[in-house]
Amino acid sequence: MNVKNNKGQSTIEFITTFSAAVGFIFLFLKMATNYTEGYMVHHATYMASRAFLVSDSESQQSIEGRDKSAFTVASAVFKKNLPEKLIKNFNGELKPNYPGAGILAPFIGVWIEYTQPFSIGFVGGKDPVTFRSESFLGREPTRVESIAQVCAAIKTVTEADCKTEATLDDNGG
Amino acid sequence: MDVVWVGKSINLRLLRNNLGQSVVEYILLLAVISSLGYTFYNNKRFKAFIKGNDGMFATMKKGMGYSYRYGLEYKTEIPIDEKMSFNYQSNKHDTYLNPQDEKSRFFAGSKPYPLQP
Repeated sequence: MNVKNNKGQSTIEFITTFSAAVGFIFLFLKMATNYTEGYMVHHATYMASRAFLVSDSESQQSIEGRDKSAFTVASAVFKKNLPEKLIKNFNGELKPNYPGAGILAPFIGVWIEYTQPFSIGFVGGKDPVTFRSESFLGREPTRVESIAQVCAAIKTVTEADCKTEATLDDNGG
Repeated sequence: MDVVWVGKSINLRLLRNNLGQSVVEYILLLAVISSLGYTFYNNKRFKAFIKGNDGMFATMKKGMGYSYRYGLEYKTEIPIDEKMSFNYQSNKHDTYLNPQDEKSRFFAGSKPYPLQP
């Protein structure tokens, strides 16, 4: 009979200890990839936030339209810095914090939330960890907004609409 | 009498060699270790340490998510659900506002720059 010798005993012991050790190795491996991918997402979010800060499209003639256009540009910049297949099963979607949408001014910018499994082995479980990357560089006033403010300033002086040509003179006061 | 004699001969034959000794020892040791392991595994404190919302791996998960978002070390006294659901409607962002002393982490000069002479 097979049980009358100790053949395979060390194999069984090796398998049991090795599987536990490999489980921990996979846990730390996945944690390392989570951190590395996290850095890449942070960088892409930061680059997208830079684009969101300065983008000002002439094709839009309203502040809201230009903000939305800026977010479209920011999303493209994000995808350029973080191509779709760079992170396996990436499920994040870039979101904007527009100015004047009930968001506090220091939090104007873009953010993204995504999940990744905590571990790929049986040690630690495969429950997802939620990661949120934020970059709040703000948003520069658009030219539409600048024009509206200049127009409002001219109106207070000339008491006419902005279609009337007016010459403003700085008296140095 | 014949039956007793046969029984004795079998017992003696089994005891005359050490075949199976290591198997018996292995089984006994395995039973002891298994029972110890089972007791240890079923211990409430051990289970709480490994599993559950405040277990080791759950704390590691929370720590990863918190430190990734706020750039700060996670501590168990931090209200993680509240922090992770922060929706930019107040100033309670831990990267911006120190929750311990309720002061901004940003700083500026306390006095204005002196005017040029």
